[in-house]
Amino acid sequence: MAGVDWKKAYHDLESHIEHIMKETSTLVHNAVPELRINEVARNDQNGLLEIIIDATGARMKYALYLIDRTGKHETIKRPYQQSNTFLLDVPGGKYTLQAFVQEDGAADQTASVKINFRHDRVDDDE
Amino acid sequence: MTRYLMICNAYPTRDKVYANGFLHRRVKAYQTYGIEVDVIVMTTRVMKDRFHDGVHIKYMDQHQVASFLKENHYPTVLFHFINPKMFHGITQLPKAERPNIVVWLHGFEAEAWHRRYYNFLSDIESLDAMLERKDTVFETQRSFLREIMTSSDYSIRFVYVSRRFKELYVDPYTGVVPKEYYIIPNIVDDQLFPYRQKVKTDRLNLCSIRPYTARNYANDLTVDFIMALSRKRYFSKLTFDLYGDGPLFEVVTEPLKRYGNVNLHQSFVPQNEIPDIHESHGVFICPTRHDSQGVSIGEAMSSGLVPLSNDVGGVPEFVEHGKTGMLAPRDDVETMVENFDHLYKHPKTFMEMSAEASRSIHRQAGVEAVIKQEMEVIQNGWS
Repeated sequence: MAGVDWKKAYHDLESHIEHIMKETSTLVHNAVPELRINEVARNDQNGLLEIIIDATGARMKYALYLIDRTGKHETIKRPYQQSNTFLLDVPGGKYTLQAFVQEDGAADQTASVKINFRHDRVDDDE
Repeated sequence: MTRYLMICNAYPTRDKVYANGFLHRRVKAYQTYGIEVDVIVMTTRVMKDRFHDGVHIKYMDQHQVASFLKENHYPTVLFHFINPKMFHGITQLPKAERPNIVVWLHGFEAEAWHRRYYNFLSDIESLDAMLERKDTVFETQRSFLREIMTSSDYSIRFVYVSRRFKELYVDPYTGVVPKEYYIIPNIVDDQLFPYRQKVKTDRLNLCSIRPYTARNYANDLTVDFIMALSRKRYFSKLTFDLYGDGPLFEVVTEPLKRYGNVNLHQSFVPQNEIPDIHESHGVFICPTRHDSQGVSIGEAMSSGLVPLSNDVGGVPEFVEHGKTGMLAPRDDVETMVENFDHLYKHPKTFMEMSAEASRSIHRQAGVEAVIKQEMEVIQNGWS
């Protein structure tokens, strides 16, 4: 409509948008995802117990304890590794799994979760 | 004596002396020129009438305003911080009985929702809330402004506090320009803030008086500016006094605690105490991200301080870079430091700027200059 200096307003808006984008850039750079374990999946891989730790965070590494709840077998402790997948050769039974995730270079930033499950091992020759 | 009516969103009382204090100064100035103004504050709360410093204040909701206007005739009604509810009473009057209307546009009531983005980007809840308000509050307000700016059903005039505010913020927001408008700044009270001549060493004493309630006041830039200036050899010769209060005060000023020449005064400064602060300083640190005018900058200039601010919003209409103050591009701390460096190294320039800043702002926004213009708009030339 007559009277609005759209060209002048547009140039000002361009500058305004640039400042918004700069602010957004700062926010994104400073945004750190909260470290957490989303899910621990278990699968049978040809008789082996496959554990996959699904987590959110930055530059993560993963570890686990597998505790035999009947006490017949020694606890398995797998140290921190880059991969979120563990393959364990364990007999069937009742276990407690404690999964850990840590941000690389930040030993004080750790999340963990405990789950109980029954592992029914299916051997190849059965 | 003809009485006029002012309708606004807040007005000072004994308990809340600083709620839209500039409206009260306006009303008192009108009184000295023979204009009496009744005031209605829009509210849904049930409140008794009050009297504050010779001004009668009524508190009404939109329906009460409508009834009041039907029973009380005013030749002209003055609106500050207008919204549809405030205007409802006018729309309820038959066209022939509608008063003349003057609408002042100050800032948030006539700006796009995204203008102060830095105030709601700190967390996702604030952003989501603003996005919802965009579609509800802001669109409603925009449609309303567009309607009253283009309607032939009202005898209406608009006052913008600066031309840049109008052309950069309001015009593109509404998409229309009203037929009758005026550019008249808010009063910079030259009687409350008289010029006091500075000496060269006053440029070594810098002050800031700002709310610490939102990022548009750019207090983080004040902190960055002082920290950058601390690398200068002459830094220890300077003193800094920062006044203000709000949720952001402690977190923003924390980095300055290490400096022995930076004094932090966490308190709201009553307006009558500001002139004394001005008297003992020569440079006013006032970065900004958003100002339709910059009244506090003007008040410092009136007192003879040289402002260090930014080329943002309406500020350049009141501060001429290199002549009545020093302006840096938005968010540009490095240039702010260069600007102060220039003042430090050129004391004669500082003195000239100090005097010219005061003269200039008095001419532009002093009580007499503003009130004469406003009276002309309120009283004369209505068809």
